[in-house]
Amino acid sequence: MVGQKVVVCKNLWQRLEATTDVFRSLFGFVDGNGTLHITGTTLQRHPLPHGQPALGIYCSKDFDTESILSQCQRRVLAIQEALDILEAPNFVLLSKEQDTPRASLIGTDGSTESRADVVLSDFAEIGGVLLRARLSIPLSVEYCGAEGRFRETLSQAIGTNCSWLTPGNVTFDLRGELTKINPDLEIGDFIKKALQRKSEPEGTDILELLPVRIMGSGDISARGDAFHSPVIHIQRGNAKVFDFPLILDVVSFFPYDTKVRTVSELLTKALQQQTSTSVEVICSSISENQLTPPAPMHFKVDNGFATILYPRNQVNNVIKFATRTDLAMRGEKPTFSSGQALFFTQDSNLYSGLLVNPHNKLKPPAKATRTAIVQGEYLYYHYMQQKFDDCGWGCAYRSLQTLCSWFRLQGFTEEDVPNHEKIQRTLVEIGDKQANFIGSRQWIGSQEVSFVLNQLTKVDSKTIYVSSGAELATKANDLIDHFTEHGTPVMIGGGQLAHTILGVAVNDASEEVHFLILDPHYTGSEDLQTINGKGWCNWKPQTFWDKNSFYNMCLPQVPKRVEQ
Amino acid sequence: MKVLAYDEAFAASLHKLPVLSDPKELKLGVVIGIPGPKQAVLVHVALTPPLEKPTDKLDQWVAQHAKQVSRMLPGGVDVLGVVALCSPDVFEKQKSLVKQALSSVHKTLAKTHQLQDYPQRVLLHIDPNSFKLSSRLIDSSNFSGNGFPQDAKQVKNCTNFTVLESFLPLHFLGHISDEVVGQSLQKQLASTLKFIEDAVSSGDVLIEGQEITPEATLSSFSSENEGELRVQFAVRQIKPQPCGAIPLTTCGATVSIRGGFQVRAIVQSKATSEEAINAIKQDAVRNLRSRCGMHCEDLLVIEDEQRDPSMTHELPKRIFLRRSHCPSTVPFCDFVFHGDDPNDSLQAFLEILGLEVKPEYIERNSEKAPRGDIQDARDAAQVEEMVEDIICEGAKQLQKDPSNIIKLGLACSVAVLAMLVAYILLVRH
Repeated sequence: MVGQKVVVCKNLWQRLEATTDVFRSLFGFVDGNGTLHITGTTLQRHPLPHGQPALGIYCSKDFDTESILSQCQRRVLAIQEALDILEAPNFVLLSKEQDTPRASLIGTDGSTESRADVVLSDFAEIGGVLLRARLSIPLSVEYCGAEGRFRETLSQAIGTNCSWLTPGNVTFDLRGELTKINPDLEIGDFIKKALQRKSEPEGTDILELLPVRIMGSGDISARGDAFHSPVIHIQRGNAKVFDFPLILDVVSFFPYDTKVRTVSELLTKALQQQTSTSVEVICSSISENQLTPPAPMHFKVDNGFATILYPRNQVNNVIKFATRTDLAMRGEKPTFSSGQALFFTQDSNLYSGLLVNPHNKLKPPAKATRTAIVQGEYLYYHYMQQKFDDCGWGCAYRSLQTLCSWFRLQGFTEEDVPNHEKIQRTLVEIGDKQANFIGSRQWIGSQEVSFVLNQLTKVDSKTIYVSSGAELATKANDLIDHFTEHGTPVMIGGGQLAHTILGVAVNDASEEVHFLILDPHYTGSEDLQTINGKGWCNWKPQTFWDKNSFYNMCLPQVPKRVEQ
Repeated sequence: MKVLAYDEAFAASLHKLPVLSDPKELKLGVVIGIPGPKQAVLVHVALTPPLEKPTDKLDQWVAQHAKQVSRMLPGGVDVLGVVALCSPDVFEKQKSLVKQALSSVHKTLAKTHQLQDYPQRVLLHIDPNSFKLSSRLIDSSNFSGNGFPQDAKQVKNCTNFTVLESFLPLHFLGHISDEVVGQSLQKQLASTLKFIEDAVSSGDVLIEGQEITPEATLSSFSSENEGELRVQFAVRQIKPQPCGAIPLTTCGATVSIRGGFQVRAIVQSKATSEEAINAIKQDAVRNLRSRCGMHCEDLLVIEDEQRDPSMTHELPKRIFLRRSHCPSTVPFCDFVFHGDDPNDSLQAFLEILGLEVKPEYIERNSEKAPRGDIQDARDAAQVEEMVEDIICEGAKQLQKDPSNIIKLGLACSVAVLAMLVAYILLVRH
């Protein structure tokens, strides 16, 4: 047992240190060497909180092991269930000892205890894959207006129609390869085989596996007495019912050396667990005799992930707060807004038909000594999208849409990105334009962009003016400060053109400045190769700007607010 | 199907065919076999029982017989056509009648779940004196035509079959619409079981846990597993689609389904995986439909029950003949209603398939009976017996000592109480 270690996410440890909860479950993953990696914490007592296996307990008080185990029996049972699947021999007890983390590894039966070293890490070196599994199960549930009765019938319907969601009856498909047929492969090798890859991509890979129901007892003699010949009960009588899909959707991170069998069992258990946690949310998703089936949303939280079901799929501050409490989160940044939900670019790199961060694969100029670029995600808006012909007049509108998408995807607003008419209507409403502006083809400039941003997303903007394009290089330091502090894309208008600046690179020796430009004048399809290759999104030298034109830049400022 | 192959055992069985009492007599029946693109395998011929009423139409009678036979077949095996047992002269004279029967059989079976649509049907003639077989393939779009000859011949080991087997669970809770409730019971049952038919039809099939390409043969699997393969259905799930607000709708009935059913099919041991998959899928759908059909036919007799607002339909359970006692080792089956003795099906095997079956030839535990009314009845009988015992014991005591009348009273009270408790338990159960 000497030399054993437990790896804990640095940010998580800070959150744990600040929490006043006496006991918390810890979750994460186990690598091929059997080392426990703790990525998150929760108050839940499920075996797979937020899709990851429960691996231990954090205790903020100075209790002895026996006392912790006796007070946390339900947590321990949940952990044991997860460890059984992982075939891991120990779980961790984490506590604070003079402001430093202290860990013990406890045998799954609670009989052994050994000290382990705690390594605080940012997990950059762990190669693995975030796997998503989702499916839709049709349900038909009677509703007579009484919530208690509905909850009961809903639980019955889920219990019956989802009873097959057990590890023996589920396998997963990746491009035609079934996990069931390759149980002893490591997940990294399975993915290579399925995708015919030679190596794993850099960073965390994100893939979706399709659940497959296995019907039919593999071993006839082992099916026991559970099944008898078919019995159909029909109870006639009119009733009001909701026919709706139960949407199950889980994500879970696995190191590449995890066995396929373990991956399959954990994902199945996570889906199964979600069936029971869905009941309450579905019950609260009924309004005026209509039911909006909740669709789980996944969010990145430090080095882990969190899954939330919002009733009626509407972001709800109470649930946001409850989730933050559950995960021991604090801080100024907004969290768990719909725009921040993970989207799976490996399925499609388009989000609502638009490209996400088309600059991602571009490298800054080789000789740059200082570089700062946009932080987070945005969508590339340009001419002719949404079947709307704005060629020749809509470039600033499109740049504004890109700015709005950043605030939407970063969770600062739940407002949809405005279309041209909404932008024009907003400017009329605030008195900046006459009523006949709506439906016209009139241009807007950086000032109008800042007005609309403020009106729709409550975001203030800073304006920078230069009298000539040649002067823009002198504003490079301002832009570096902006991208470092705020990280929002910048709209720039001048010389009858509008663009979006996504970054700036400075060569201090030659004083050469390059700008990362997103050009809204593009009229083609969402083809990344063309967009990068033909310069619609790429690094441009300072000569890109017209020295005979003046320019105004609109730099949106990230609001400072503490989310409750 | 240019060749109709049969094995030595079938050739020998021809000698056991009934002797015709009159040289002019014609006996019709059905040809049971496994179709194939080049060669069909003949596994059995089942002669149609005599007409119940002289007014019945022979062709319709044979068609009904064919329908009943098809219910007793495992997947992969179909009624291929009609057999005529008669002298060559009679066959020539009665050919139009035989073809009419073939046409009726084809039309009737088209409504069942067959392996294929059968563009041609087999018209087999057996001479009861020489035991000579002659076969023709008749075009199913023109039954009055002469078709073309089919080579009926003995082929060694052509009935070396592989059995595919699985047990499919059925668990469902949902509703059916008002419109469906207004339909016949058979349509209601078909509607409630559509989900399983859809899953089976759309699912891939795993053989011994492996996915096999359609053109691969079963040979390697069959030899490793002694000709018995375990099969599972792999049903890929639907990805959730964006979904708006769902309004309340009206349903006509609540439906719950529980239990499961055994599926079994046979294929030639060198069959391709595609042929095996088609066979097992056929059995899943056909056997479920057969059960529903038989259950509804049974209920037609008791019309009042169909109007009952709360009905529990215990579909009949399937029993198989042991392969060692079956012609060509094809596991023929029957469906038995709960409460009926499985031995009742001995008569069905004799009348419909012409097989003399002893009770020990039947596999009894392929499916279990549900714990339903039958079990309740057994429990009730036990309670009744217990009460009787108490009363008898009390009476004995009374005879010995009349002062024990108090004890008898107490015993009776206990008995009544026991009955009450038993009744409550049964109702709750």
